[in-house]
Amino acid sequence: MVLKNIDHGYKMLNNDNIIITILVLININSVIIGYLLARMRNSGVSSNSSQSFFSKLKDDKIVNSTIAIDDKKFVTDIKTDGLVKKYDSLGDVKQTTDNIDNSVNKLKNLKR
Amino acid sequence: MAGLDVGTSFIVLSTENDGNIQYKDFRDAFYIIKPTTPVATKMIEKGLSGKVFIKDNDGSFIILGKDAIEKAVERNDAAKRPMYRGVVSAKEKDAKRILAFILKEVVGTASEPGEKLVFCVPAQPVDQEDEDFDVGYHEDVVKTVLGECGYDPRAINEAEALCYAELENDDYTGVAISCGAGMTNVCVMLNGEPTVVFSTTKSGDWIDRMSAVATGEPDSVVQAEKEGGDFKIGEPNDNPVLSAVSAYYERLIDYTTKQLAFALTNHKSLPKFKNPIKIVVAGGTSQAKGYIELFTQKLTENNFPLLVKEVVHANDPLHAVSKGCLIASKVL
Repeated sequence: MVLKNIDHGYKMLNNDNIIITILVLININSVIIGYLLARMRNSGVSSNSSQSFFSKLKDDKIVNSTIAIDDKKFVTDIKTDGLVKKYDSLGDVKQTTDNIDNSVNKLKNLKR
Repeated sequence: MAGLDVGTSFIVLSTENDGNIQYKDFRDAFYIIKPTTPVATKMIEKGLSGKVFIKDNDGSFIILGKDAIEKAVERNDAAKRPMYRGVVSAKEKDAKRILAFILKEVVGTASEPGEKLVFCVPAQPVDQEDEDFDVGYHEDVVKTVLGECGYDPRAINEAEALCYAELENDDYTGVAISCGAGMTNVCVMLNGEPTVVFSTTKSGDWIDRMSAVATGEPDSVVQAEKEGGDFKIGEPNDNPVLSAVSAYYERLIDYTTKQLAFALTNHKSLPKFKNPIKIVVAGGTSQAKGYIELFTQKLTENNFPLLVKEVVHANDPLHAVSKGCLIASKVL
C-alpha cells in the first residue's frame, strides 16, 4: 500500500516536472525570439534621427532631466550703441516668385 | 517668420511676401579707417559719401559690405571679416560687435515679439581640431543678438537647411553640400531625417588665400578677380590670378570629394538607400564654371560609396540655405 502511494507520488512529481520544464522552455524561447526580432529590426536602415533639427527640439525636453553644469563660453554684453549709422539703407533686396507652401506641407507630413 | 543664412561671406535674410520669398543679402565684410587728424576725418567722411559706413565712438570709420572690399582693394589691402570659417571670428577684436551690428541691421526688429527666426550654423569639421572653432559659442552670440531684436531664434545645421530647400521632389532623401566661403557643409538625409552631418574647413577663402600667396596679390584682390573674372575650372587662363584660382579650385574639389568618400565609407549611420540618390550643391564657391562637372567626375574617381542618380546645382545657389531656414521656421 505504502509502495503504491510512493509510486503514485513519483508519477505526480514526474508530471509536474514535465509541465514546469515545458513552461520554462516556452519562457526561454520567448525571450530568445524577442531578442532575435529586436536584433533584426535594428540591423536595417540606421538613422541617427537625434541629429534632426525638428527631433532636437523634442529631445531637449527629455534631456532636461539630466543634471549637468553649463561650461559653455559665456556671451558677454555686445554693445553696438557707440556705432553711428551713416547710410540710408543696407543690403540688396531680391523678390522671387518661389512658393514654399508645398515644401512646408510635405515636411510637416513627414515629421508627424 | 524668417530664415537667416549667417555665412562667412554673405548674410541672407529670407521672408515671405504675398506667398513669394523676398531675400535681403549683405556682404559680411568690414574695413576700418582711423583718421589721424581732424582735417583727415572730414576728408575721409567726404570721400565715403554714398558708401555704407558707420562711425565708431573712437572717431574711426567702419565701412561695411561690398564697399569695404572695394575700399580695401583701392588701398591694396585686405577687408576684414566678422566671421572666420563659419563662426564668429576669434581673430578679429571687433568681430563680435560688428557682426551684431550687421545682423541687427539686416533682420530689423521682429514684426511681433517672439517671431520665429531660424538661422544656420555649421557642423563640426572633420579635418580640423581648433579651439577657436566653437559652434556653441557662435550660436549663442547669434541667438543673443537676434533675441535683442525681439525674435525667438532657433539654430539649424546649414546643409540640413539646404536639404529642406532642394530635396522636396526626392522625398527629402539625398545629399546636400553647401560650399560657402569658409567651409563646406554636408548633410545626408533620409525621408527628412538628417543621418550624417559634417563639414570641412577648406572652401572659397582657402582658394583666395592660396592664390594670393601664389601670385603675391592681397586676398581681397584675388576675391574680386575670382568673382568678376571669366574662367572655367580646369581650363588655362591668361590672367595669372585666374589661372591660380582655377588650379586651386581643382585641388579643392579633389580634396572635398576625397573627404566625402572617406567620411561616408562604412559610416555606421549611413542609410542603405534603395535607389541611387541626388546630390545637390549650393553656395557661392560652387558658382564657378565647370564646378559641378568636375565635382561629379571626382566623386567617381575618389570612390564615393553611394550610388548617385545626379549631381545638380541648387536653383538659386546663393539663397538656397536661407530658403531652407525659412521652410524650417514654418514647419516648427
